[in-house]
Amino acid sequence: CLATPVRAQEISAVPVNAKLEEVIAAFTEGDAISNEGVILTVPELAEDGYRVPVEIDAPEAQEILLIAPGNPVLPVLKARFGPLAGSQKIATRMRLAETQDVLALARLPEGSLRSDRQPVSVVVGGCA
Amino acid sequence: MATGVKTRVKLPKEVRAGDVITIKTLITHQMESGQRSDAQGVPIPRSIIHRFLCTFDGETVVDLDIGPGISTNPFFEFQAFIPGSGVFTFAWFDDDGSIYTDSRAISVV
Repeated sequence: CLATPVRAQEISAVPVNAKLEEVIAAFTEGDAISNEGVILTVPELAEDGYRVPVEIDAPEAQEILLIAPGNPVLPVLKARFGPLAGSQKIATRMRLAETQDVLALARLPEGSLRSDRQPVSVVVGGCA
Repeated sequence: MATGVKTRVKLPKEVRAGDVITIKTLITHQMESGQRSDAQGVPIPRSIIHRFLCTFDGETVVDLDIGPGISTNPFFEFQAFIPGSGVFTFAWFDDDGSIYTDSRAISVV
């Protein structure tokens, strides 16, 4: 699979200092976003901003984007689910520089957009 | 080049055709965000794992674009559908051009 061509890194393609509106627009291409259909799970209180567990569950989604609006670099993770994905769910650990509302966006195969937003109180900010 | 990079993959021991299984992966990597400065105030250049790809017999399970907001030692947990026996391939792409890979053969029972 190393023969897989390295494609353009879309996260990196967004300027490092892009504002929230620009990061969202690059993903949504201006289409309307529903506030249902994605479940973003984060702790209400994160004592260590260097390692904040996060889970995104976006049934039927083709791709999802995780955004930390209070970090120096907003896009955290973009996931594409292939034909052998067993669910449209992913869990990881992220850095949060400060207390903020974390945002998850999802695009379904037919093009519709979904989102969820959850507040996280950060005690010790992680240098993100 | 990052030193001491190790990859870990956890899969269930027994798998049946048609199962949806949970996969956990981890790579030891400092994920230098590019936002920090050293003691002299000189910015430390970004050096992260920027992509992770999991395939099964060439078909994509998940393909991740990773930003500097992912923690040190990037961990990912996701699910895969098992059509039958085959081989999982995992690849982590480093900013420095290195590609770290791991693979696991699955024999369905």
